[in-house]
Amino acid sequence: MNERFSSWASPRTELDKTSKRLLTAASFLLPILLWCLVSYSPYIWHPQMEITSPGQVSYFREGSLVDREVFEIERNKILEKTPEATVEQLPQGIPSNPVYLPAPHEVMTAMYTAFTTPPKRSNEPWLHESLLHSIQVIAWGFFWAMLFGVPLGILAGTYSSASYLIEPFTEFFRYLPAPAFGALAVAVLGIYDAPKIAIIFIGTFFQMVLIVAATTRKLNIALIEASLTLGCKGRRMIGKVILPGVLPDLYRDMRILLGWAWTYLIVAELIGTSSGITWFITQQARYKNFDNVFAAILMIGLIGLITDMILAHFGKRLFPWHQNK
Amino acid sequence: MTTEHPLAKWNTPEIEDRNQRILQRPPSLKISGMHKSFGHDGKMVKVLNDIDFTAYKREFVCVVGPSGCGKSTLARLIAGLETYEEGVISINDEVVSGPGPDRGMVFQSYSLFPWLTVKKNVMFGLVENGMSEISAEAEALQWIDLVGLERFANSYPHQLSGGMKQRVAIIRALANKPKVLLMDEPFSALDPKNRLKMQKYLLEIWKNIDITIFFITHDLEEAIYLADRILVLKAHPGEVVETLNVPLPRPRKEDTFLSEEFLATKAYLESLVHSEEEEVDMEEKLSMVRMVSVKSDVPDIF
Ligand SMILES: Nc1ncnc2c1ncn2[C@@H]1O[C@H](COP(=O)(O)OP(=O)(O)O)[C@@H](O)[C@H]1O
Ligand SMILES: [Mg+2]
Repeated sequence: MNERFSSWASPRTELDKTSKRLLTAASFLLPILLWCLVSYSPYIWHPQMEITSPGQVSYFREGSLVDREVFEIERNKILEKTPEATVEQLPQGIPSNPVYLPAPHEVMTAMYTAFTTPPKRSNEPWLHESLLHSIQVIAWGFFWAMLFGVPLGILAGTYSSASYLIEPFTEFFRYLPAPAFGALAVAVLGIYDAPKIAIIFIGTFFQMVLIVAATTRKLNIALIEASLTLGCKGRRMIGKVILPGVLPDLYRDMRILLGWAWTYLIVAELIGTSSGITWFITQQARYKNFDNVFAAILMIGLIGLITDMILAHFGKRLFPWHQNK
Repeated sequence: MTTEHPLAKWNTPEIEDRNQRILQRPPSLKISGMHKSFGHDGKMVKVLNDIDFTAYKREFVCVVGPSGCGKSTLARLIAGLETYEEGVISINDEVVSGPGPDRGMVFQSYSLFPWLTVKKNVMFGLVENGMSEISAEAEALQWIDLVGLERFANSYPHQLSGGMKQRVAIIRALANKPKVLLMDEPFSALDPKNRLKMQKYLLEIWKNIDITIFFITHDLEEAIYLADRILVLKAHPGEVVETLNVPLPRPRKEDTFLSEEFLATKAYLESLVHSEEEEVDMEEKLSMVRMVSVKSDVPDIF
């Protein structure tokens, strides 16, 4: 046991299987535990009171939330006026958290009920339709970014001339925040999906070119030289040596970049007519259904995590020659 | 006045005769008046200065010299991977410009294509030079047989040991039927036992096919064991010190390593190469170590 813990504290040491599982579980369980503590133990936070009986306070309503301070002040006022006030005359309440911090079980329930609750108006989408719409926007934006970003990146990583032509401008452009192009995108592309896809594209494309170029440049030069001495020349080399050589790393880059694309989703979906999961979140926040808001946010995280795990799994099969995962 | 060469007494008439016959063969690789500099912070640093050397058909040449003297650079120049400012390199009287299939190269670091199986690696050059996949495959399998890797034809390089990787690298280069095989410290990453095995393999292959080998190494024993002639370079700038005929009969046997002529050649080469290598004053460093007091249960190791 002691050995196990000492391996936890030594730099860059491989852990045993149990430790790995333990720590992975803890990585999720610790934040959840914290959330549970804050939600279910009244002594940690609970800055508000949920009124169970308003007593003599005229503006208290049963079931509404008031700050603890306000509750105390009103209670003390009554006690000052009538020191022998009965329980019925005094306001009663239980400590609770603000409405924007729902408890874990509420969010878990919402994960399910959010899908089964019909939309408020008949022309509004169900949750699964919203999610599907979001995924489509991401997929298209990422597809266009890959279609142009990967070839340009490989060119820039292969030829110095292409690097000097492509990279300086890209380097400049990637500092421009993608959301800043929102209004422009709407003016040019309309209010529906096109400007949203454009924002995802702008957010990922420029990074992609630079990252792919850097990855391509990392290809072992000995492989290129070996292919030269074997008679591989010119443009053939891109297809025969460079592309297959960087493919596993390229795949890993795409996984990371896909994660970034998700971070642009919320801004993208606010542009033009609000849509997708963002529309659902803003709508639910307006109705103060914060359990649904949390559920939706968690869903984004889960979709991202699961996609990445699936891609990682496929990566192992696609590139059997690649050792360092 | 000419003094006798220190190794002259080992040159038996037989060996002398063989060496003379080598020099009468047509030249295979010819380097003349070669200069090469690299730019360092705007200054040009001369790495190779006026190199003249000729290797003859089916000769086995080894290149030794202190580290940094430009051995790798020389091999890369011959391979066409570097450009040079002055001089001529020709293979079979054809001037070299850029890489070409007449020169194969085996690198020090493993340079097999990791995404291709052993078979596909060997086929690579054949297909690039216009052979059809089917005949390339048949030919590749023959080469793989030759080095005893049939069982690994469909393995990926990462599944092979270091020695096996270099065997594949050698046949990958040889499959293209080059005139000259350039090898840059190909066995330096192997353990001594495997290295000896690979050296024997290489001599066996060399014996059986029409190839001139230009083999770079920093291991003097390896050079003596393999070479007909050894090209000794010195550093700053890289220049030819001597082209040494190895006074050992062929075929080389394993006990060659212990023979008197072998040890004499090694001692002589050491004197050539090591007089070059900068001697750090270890004596001074060691006396400082002595000043560090040792508190130990074992006060004296002698
Ligand atoms: N591409 C390069 N750019 C600049 N200097 C180089 C380059 N390649 C080699 N050199 C320099 O040339 C010298 C000879 O290098 P190298 O041929 O690798 O020596 P060796 O193989 O004999 O150890 C070294 O001083 C090295 O720093
Ligand atoms: Mg070297």
